[in-house]
Amino acid sequence: MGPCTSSQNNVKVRYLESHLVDNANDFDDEPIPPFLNPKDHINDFDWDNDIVIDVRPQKKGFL
Amino acid sequence: MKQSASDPDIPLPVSISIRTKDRNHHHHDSLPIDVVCVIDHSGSMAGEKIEFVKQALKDMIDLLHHEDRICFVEFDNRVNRVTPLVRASHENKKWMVKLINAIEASGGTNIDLGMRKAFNVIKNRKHKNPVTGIFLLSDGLDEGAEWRVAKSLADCNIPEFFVIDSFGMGHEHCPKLMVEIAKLEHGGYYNIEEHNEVDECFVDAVAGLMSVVAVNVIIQIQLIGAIQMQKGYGDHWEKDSLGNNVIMMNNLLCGGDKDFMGEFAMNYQVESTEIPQIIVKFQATIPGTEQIIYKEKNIKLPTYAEFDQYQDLDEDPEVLANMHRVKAAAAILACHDLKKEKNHDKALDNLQQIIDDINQCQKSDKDKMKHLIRDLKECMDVLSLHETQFEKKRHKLVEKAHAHLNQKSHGEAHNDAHSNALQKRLVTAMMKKKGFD
Repeated sequence: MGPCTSSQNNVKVRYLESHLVDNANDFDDEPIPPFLNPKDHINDFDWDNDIVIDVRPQKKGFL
Repeated sequence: MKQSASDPDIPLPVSISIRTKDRNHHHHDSLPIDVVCVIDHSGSMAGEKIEFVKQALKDMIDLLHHEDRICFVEFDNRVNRVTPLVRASHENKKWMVKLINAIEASGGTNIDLGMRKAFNVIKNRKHKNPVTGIFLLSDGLDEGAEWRVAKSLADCNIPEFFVIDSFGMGHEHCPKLMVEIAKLEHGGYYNIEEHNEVDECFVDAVAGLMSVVAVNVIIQIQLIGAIQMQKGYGDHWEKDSLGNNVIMMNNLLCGGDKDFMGEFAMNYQVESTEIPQIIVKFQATIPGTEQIIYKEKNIKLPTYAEFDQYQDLDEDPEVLANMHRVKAAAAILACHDLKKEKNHDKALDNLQQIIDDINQCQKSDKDKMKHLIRDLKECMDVLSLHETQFEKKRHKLVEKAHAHLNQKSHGEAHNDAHSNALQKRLVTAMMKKKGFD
């Protein structure tokens, strides 16, 4: 392997710098109340009837 | 042209639609959300751009409920998690505004660093709100970033469903890069042509998260008898482990109206005694629960003996309009590339051909496609621009194509036909606040 080129060095420096700054552990999110029931938040949506699927071919009226 | 039942691979366009009732809800009557904003603050964002972004972030925080949580990540050629994932409480909002005010523009652009941080925030959080999104905003070029971000996402192996919405600011960002990153998690792409539109786009996207009624949507397509699938239009088509065609969506919004188009083919030369059928099996999870909703819809298709009778039936105008929509979207993307290859005349001819085809339709059908014709003409205007002007406006083509291909809201128009009531209301309120009617 040949000597490290200037651009390779830049990449390495960039990587190290990024990890120096990126030092937060991300496990420190703020707690939230337990989520118990979606209906506590959405009481006007009926999952059984308010989602409708349909399939239609190019021509209409064929049964 | 009339087909004979003995022809091989007779084309049969089919639309598979999902409609959800609109809730017309207040933004506080929604499922709690976790949102991670990944903001490019590189040197090119200096001046007006970063100031508009800062204001837009503050406006967005204002909309959040105290159970929603938000995290800010800023990146240039380094990354900094400005805040952890914190609740949008009154005190936190005041604190976040101070941190946002302190954001300054400098450095280069490394999108992957910012996104990797966001993925880690989502993966490592100890608590989870039922709906999650990442908003990525960048104004710059970062060649190959879509591959690096895809690898980071795969490395992170996040089990929960979330969307990535991407916001390309100004005319120097690469629209295809931003689309590719959004596509990784079935999100939308917003082209922010005017810097002062960034708040409307953020509000549209956050209202989208607040409108989620189901996650992890899987629509499996089973085919029986002499029918095969040839092509699915849009970014949502995939294959499952059994080789079935499936449509995948991470989030399902209330007030949504999605028509997925597939090109199928009847092939009566294949010996089959079964009546040709398409069976569509829908399943989705109610957010924050393990409760799954199942739905099924079957359609029968003509047998060999019935085919002539089927051919004489009228076209379904909805299917016709949707087929033109997705074909136009694919053509717009292809024309973007043709123009880049300096094949300007062919690009214009292709779009004109689509307009001519639509004009051949009956008037009532044509009326359904007037927005499509308007957009095609707008794209032709962009394609006619001189090269340097085209470079500044080409994002419009990718935006239009992506919006038509996926029937996505794109935030630039508050009267967008694909936005739901909450999105329209909040975007309109934002525009009024700025003095636009």
